[in-house]
Amino acid sequence: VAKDEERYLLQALEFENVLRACLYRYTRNSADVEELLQETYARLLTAGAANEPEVRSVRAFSLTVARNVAFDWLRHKQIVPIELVADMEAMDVLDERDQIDAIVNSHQELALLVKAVQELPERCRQVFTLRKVYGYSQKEIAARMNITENTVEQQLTKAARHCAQALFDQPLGERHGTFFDRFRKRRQAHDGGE
Amino acid sequence: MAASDVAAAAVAWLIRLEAQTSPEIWDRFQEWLDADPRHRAVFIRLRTAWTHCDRLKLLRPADGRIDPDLFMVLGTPPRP
Repeated sequence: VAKDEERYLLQALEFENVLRACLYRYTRNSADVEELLQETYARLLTAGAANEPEVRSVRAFSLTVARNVAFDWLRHKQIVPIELVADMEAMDVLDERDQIDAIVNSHQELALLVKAVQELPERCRQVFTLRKVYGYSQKEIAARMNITENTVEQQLTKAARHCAQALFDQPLGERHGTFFDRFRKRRQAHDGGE
Repeated sequence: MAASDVAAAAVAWLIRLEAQTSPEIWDRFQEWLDADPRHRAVFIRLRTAWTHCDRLKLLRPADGRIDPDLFMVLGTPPRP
């Protein structure tokens, strides 16, 4: 996977909650949000690979892509969105609020992950801890805990999904990620400011 | 493929490739990645989160003790 193609997608992960909120306005259903979010990310990846001028605001661009995905979906379902204009105005408010919420620090982000790990079932948490804190291989974890490698794989799978949700799908207003701030700073340094 | 199936397949690949890989497995993975842009997108999302979890190595006790229940002695992090 070529890194540069991923740039829009990687930046969009930092406001996944905003994208989810946007999509939810049209679908009113979390299973459909999941579906449309994947499509949004896929289009961001395609856009990142396209030979087009660089997008100025990835946030605005991502929201436009999400809305287009939602419109296509609504059209496909032959639903006419009544509150379209009102929704788009509301999204702008949401944007501003999230930008304020995005002022965060590194300690808080670690705390967020710690909380996510504490929420895992016991065995899942132990397997995760040996893997991610102590760097054990899956084989070593299986031997140490006297479980099969298949079980180790299952538990890590569960843990990875949970951590991804915790990092990217935080309720609006409760953001404290910061890996993204560092990512953004690196990009800005690289781009010579936005 | 339903969204939940794509997510399940992506995370399965992520963890499987961490345990073992061979040219055959790698080819099958590439095939899956290329089958649908959504596959690649969802995989990148999970890989980013998973790599990010490596920061938890900072919590490793300095005395070299291996404690699988480490997180339970950390207490609940204070709310910001």
